Amino acid sequence: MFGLTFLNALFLFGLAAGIVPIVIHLLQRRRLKRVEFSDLRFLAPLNQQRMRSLNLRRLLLLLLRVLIILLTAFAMARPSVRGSFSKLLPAQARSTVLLLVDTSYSMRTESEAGTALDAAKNAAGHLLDALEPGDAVQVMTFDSAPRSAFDTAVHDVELARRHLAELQPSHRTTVWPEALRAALTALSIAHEPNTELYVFSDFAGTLGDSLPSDLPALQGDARVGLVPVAVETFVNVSVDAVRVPAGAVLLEEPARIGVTVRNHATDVPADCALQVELGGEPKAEASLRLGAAAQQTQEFTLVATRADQLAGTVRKRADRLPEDDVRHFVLPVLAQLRVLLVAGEGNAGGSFFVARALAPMRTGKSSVALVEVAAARFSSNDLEDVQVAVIASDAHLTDGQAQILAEFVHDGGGAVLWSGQSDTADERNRGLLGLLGEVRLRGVVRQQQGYVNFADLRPSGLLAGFDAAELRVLETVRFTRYAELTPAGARTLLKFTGGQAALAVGDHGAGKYAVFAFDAGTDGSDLALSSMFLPLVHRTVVELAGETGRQRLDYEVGERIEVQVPIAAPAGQAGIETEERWASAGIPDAVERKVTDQAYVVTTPNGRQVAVEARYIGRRAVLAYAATDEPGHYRFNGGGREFVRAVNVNVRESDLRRMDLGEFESRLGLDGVEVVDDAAEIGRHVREARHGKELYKLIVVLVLLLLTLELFMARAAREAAPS
Amino acid sequence: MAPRIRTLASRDARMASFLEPEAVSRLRNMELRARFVVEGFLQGLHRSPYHGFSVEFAEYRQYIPGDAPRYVDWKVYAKTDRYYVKVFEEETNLKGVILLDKSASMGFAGKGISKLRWGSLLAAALAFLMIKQQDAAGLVLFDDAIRELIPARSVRGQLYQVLRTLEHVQPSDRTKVSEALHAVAERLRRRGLCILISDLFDDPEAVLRGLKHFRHRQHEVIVFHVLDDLERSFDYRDEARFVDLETQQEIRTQPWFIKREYQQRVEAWSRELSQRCREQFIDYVPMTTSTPFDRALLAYLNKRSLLG
Repeated sequence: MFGLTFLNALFLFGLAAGIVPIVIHLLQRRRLKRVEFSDLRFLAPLNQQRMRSLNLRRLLLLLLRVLIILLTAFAMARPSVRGSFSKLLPAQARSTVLLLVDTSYSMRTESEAGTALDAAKNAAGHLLDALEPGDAVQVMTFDSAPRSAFDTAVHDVELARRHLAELQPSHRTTVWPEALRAALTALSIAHEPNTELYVFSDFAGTLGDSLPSDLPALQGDARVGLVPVAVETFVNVSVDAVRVPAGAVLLEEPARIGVTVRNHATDVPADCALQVELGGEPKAEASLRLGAAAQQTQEFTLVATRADQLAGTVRKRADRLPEDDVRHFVLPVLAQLRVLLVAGEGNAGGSFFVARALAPMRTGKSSVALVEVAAARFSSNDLEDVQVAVIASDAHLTDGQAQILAEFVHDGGGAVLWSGQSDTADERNRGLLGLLGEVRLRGVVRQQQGYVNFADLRPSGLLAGFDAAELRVLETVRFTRYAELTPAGARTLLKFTGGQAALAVGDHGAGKYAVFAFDAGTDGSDLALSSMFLPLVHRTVVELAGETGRQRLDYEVGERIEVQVPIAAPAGQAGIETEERWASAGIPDAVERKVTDQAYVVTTPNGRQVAVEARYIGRRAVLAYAATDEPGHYRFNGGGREFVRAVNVNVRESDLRRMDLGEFESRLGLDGVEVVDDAAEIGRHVREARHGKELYKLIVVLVLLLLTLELFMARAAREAAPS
Repeated sequence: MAPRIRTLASRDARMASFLEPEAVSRLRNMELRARFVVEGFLQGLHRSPYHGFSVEFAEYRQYIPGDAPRYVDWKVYAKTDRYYVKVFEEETNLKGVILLDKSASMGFAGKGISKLRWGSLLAAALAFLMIKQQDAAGLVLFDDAIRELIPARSVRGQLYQVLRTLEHVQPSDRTKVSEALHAVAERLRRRGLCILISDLFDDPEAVLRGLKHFRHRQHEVIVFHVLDDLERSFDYRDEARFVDLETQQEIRTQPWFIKREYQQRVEAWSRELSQRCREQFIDYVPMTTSTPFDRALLAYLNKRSLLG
């Protein structure tokens, strides 16, 4: 709706001067001389004829003079019109202006003139120049969360200018809805009658899927201007992810990592050279050729020479957005796997074969430290420092023991269950499966004739790294007896030729468990006699022992890191075995309680050291640290141990394509949003958007034209008059 | 012996001034004004190419007993000690009637004297000249009707009556020239010379019909169409409200805006009157109130000479 406003409304009183020519005209009429004339017979008709045109000219001249005065007063009042804003604002109305500045990491994009944030600051400076005395200004930065510079909007423009100058881009990604909501909320409580929001951003990426519906209501009468900062286009390649092995990584054993890179350019390919470091040592390099808008994963095989939580980094050559050219990861390397074998009486479950598969060398160095315990004597103490528990199919567990094992898995441990040995044994072990939850055992199948084999074996997942010959050997294993497993949420990693699950892996809490549909004894299959028995068992155990399944090692900037640390057992307690004992120990789930007597220190990527305390969160003792503002490795030290976590940027911000601002406006449901394409013109845009398009120049030109016309007409009249 | 007539340049200038209406108007009384106009005119005639129009005296001759003493030129006697008498042209018994329009419009005075004032001065001079020539002179004052009528007579006392009447003439508030002309034409029974002094602000056709009425009665007619200079030129500078003297009708105008067309219309009107008068063998003499009287007197004398 058309809106008219005046910058100097006081001059509108000058419109009253438009009556002056009329008054002069009327006074001149009354002051006319009276002349007696002999006879009007010639004058009257002539006068009637000629004076009609003369009177019209005089009227036009009068109107012209009135119009000149009116337009002059109008121009001095500095009128302006605005297209979609309908309120008639008084010239003295002040504004609260909120500058919403994007400080996400995409604003680090470099160009010859500086970063995108530098361009945003420059544009914001132009806006500050356009502010008028009495205006209030607030500066709000945003990335994943909005942050206000001042408690309330300030009238000190220089203060805002200094704050802007000090802004630095963060390492976080943009979350638009919260930022806009915070900005509009701040404006809704402003004191000045006019409110304006200007958003300075590269508008890279997307708005996201979930948008708040209350933004239009919050906007009210606030004017919204979008100031996209220009970013020179370039081919941005980002290191999106590093996949580390899910299973345990053993010292001096090869570990495969996958590095995913993406070419964000939609029309040109890109070359990418990757370098991998682990534990401070360069380990691998590779060169890639990426197609336009292509994503590619490069596999690297690393061999750790040290057992620890090793900090790793993947780098590519830095481009104009260096933030996404580095990816950090953590590779927990174990010197040895501690495996507990819960065996039955005798060797009916193939425990002998399992033990030999896990610890083939009784003497000397082995990657697996195997501890055997008979099922009758198994207790929670046996699980200390154990990564994986292997339950033979003939190990009969009590309900309490099953509970212990279930909790062990829930807390991040791994368990391997062999089944199919006997109905009785499996029936008893169904209780454990029931606690674990994702696999059902229906019974044992005995092949009366023939046998079944493994089917559809592929070198991926659990079998990754096995060559074709090894897989063929595995395919020749014959099974005459197996348990009928029904995965109810678990993943089937191996199948029999009839399609039945041969190996299922499920998750329980922070841990994983694997259920073989067969046992290791030779009466049900010849697997134990196969050359692939040892690698298969070893691989399964290693897979279940991975710390990545137990604890999260990779975080995003801004996320809170939680590191589970070993609980110091309360005094007088042999161990916590059951839920009841947890409760009786006085450690409720929902209360954070400080774990006593242990101090930890976290070292941030920039070398700062901060003390942190371990607290109970539920039944776990956790070190928490939330100030993850920088990407890199955060090292938690205490109790003689070091825990490393990797923090990386969210690569969603690496898509530098500017979003469709029209869609931006329509999806947010805001009204009257205007885009300022030329940041150098923002001052003019602010004035025009605030006050509309100023008309005084046009009016002045019109007045000059009318003055010229008036002079011409008046002169013509004077020339006709006698001198 | 031919008389010696002294002529001096200063005397010529003074004589010329007697013909200026403004100057004449300032003289003390109408008789003086009339005398000065006529004598100034006659003096000028002697030195003008219009000598052939002289009608006062032709020559000197010696006095012989029985001549009227009033015809002795005592100035010549003072110089020559001899008696000489003026010989005049043969006397005629012309009956002339001066018709002076005293309607409201004649009272208009632009920058100088009013038309009525001018007309009365001319009428006085004509009467003086007529009677001096021993013609009969009469006077009619009219507006929309005859207001004063002095029958034409040639005795000396007639002149004083005419002059006295002219001394006090004032414009009336009515104008209807054409009706008055008919009335006058009906009253003048004997054939003579009718001299009309008027601004003729009336319907031209009606005016001409009135004039034709005089011709119908065998009168000779001279029309002195007198207008004020401003009435001809409309040379006003300022925008003003113009008010009709008679009707009080008022119009507001910018004179310079309509001046040219006004002049053209007045000229056309005057030309039409001239042509129509000419068709009726009526002498039409356009005059303005700034015009010296000699032109009018010459026109009269010219007409008079044609009448014998």
